[in-house]
Amino acid sequence: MLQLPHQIRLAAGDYFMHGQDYRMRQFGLPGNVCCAVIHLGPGFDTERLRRRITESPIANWLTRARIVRWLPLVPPVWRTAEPKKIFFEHPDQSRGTETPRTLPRAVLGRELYASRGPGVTFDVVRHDDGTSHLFLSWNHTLLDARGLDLLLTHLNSDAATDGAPGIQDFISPRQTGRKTVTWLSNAKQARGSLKWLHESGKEPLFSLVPRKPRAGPLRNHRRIIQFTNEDTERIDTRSQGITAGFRRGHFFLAASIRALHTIAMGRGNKDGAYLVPVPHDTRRHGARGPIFSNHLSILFYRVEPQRAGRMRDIVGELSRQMTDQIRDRFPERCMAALEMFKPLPLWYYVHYLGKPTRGKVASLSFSDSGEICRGMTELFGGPILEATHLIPCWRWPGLTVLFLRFGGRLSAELSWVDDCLTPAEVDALEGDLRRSLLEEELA
Amino acid sequence: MMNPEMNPENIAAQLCQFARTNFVAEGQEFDENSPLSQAGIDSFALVELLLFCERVVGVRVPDSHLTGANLTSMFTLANCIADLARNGESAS
Repeated sequence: MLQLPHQIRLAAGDYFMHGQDYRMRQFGLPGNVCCAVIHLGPGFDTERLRRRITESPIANWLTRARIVRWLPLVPPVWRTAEPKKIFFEHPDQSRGTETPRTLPRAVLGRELYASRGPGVTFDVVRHDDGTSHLFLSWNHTLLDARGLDLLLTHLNSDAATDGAPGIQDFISPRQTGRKTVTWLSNAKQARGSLKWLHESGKEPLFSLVPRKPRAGPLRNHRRIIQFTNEDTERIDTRSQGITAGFRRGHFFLAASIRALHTIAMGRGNKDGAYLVPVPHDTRRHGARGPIFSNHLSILFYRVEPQRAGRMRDIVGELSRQMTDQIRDRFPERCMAALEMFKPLPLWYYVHYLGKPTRGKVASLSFSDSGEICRGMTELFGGPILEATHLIPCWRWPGLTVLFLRFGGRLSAELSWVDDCLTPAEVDALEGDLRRSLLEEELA
Repeated sequence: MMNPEMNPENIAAQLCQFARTNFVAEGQEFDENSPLSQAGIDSFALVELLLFCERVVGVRVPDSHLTGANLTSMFTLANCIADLARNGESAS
């Protein structure tokens, strides 16, 4: 039986996500909470899922994990506490064969906190036609999207044939052990990254967030843009042509930046640059873990509006900036700086990270999650019919674009805060995104 | 006559070693002929590989050479690097 430690060091990425959670709740938004929505065919065995959650030491640990700070100015840690209820079954709230089916109110309003728990919940809705929906909600402070996929694979696996999980499947070796004197080495490595952030965040910067004070609590909205199999094939071919297939993320990011540029032009933006931080998964390919924690490094792209009108120009700019940053070891230095700031109180940490951009943080939040439910055709006995992730929108920047695939089919999710985009702008955003991915002349 | 360190086999072996140390999980099959796209070589890893090549082999691969054919496997990439080295393309 896998024995997991009672206490684990918080990764720099975890505290960063915790800071985003804090920032969002300040504006009356739900926290940094994501939800995987999985539609399962007949045969889905709820009891098997419930049993696996109870039996798995990894799931057990995740559901009991809390962020604790023992003393002021001492880095917080993960520690297990008493479990709370995490498994819920709901009656079907949709009427007949209504599509799309209504999201259960309980799932939409799920409040998940990393500090008081639970940070992960499972909701199941059974439908009259024999299919079911599994909603797996998680606070991003605990795990990232790839971690969630690995968790599902772990829960769905048969320990007898797939082998028992090891500790490396749960947590990175860097987060275990007792190494505590890292501040000085981090300070050396982080030197220069702050200066770089101040330089790349210099005015003018474009932001969707209005200058006037917000009126009342804000709301998060989402739109999922589904591409057909033919669309996906066309997009892949175009991406292959412009990026040799290895910079597909750049192709999607370029389309997102160009769509944002269209909105910015409509608002009269002339010289405000687009600042986009992009997380990168640092796990090794083919590994079964680590499931827990946020394994990321960050690249920051700054695209001037003069270079944001054509896909090829943007992709070229992104490739150049990526190479320069990796050459300068910026991602490592940036993470070392974040590691160094963990002792700061959360409110000050959030304020301090916003300083290089005078609180604007970014113009757009972007992520390319790749294939979800990778390598899985069934889950707990039910064939997977459809799967997607619902993501929160951070404010700032007020707009998040997420690309993901299920069953080889691409989709893009727009998530925005209601005071940052009008309905007409969202339509324009979708239209431009589709044009950039599918139609624009790339030569 | 080509410097033996600049032959494609040597370069491919060094690139593979670098990928195994940095990107590919232990126990995963990966060699000079494995398709790069299936071996976890994403855009970030590709840049790391190219910078490694600059540092160790002393050859800078221009963007124009990052074609699907050259990025099929470590061996095709190594061939491209060896060609560039023969033609005097240095990292400086």
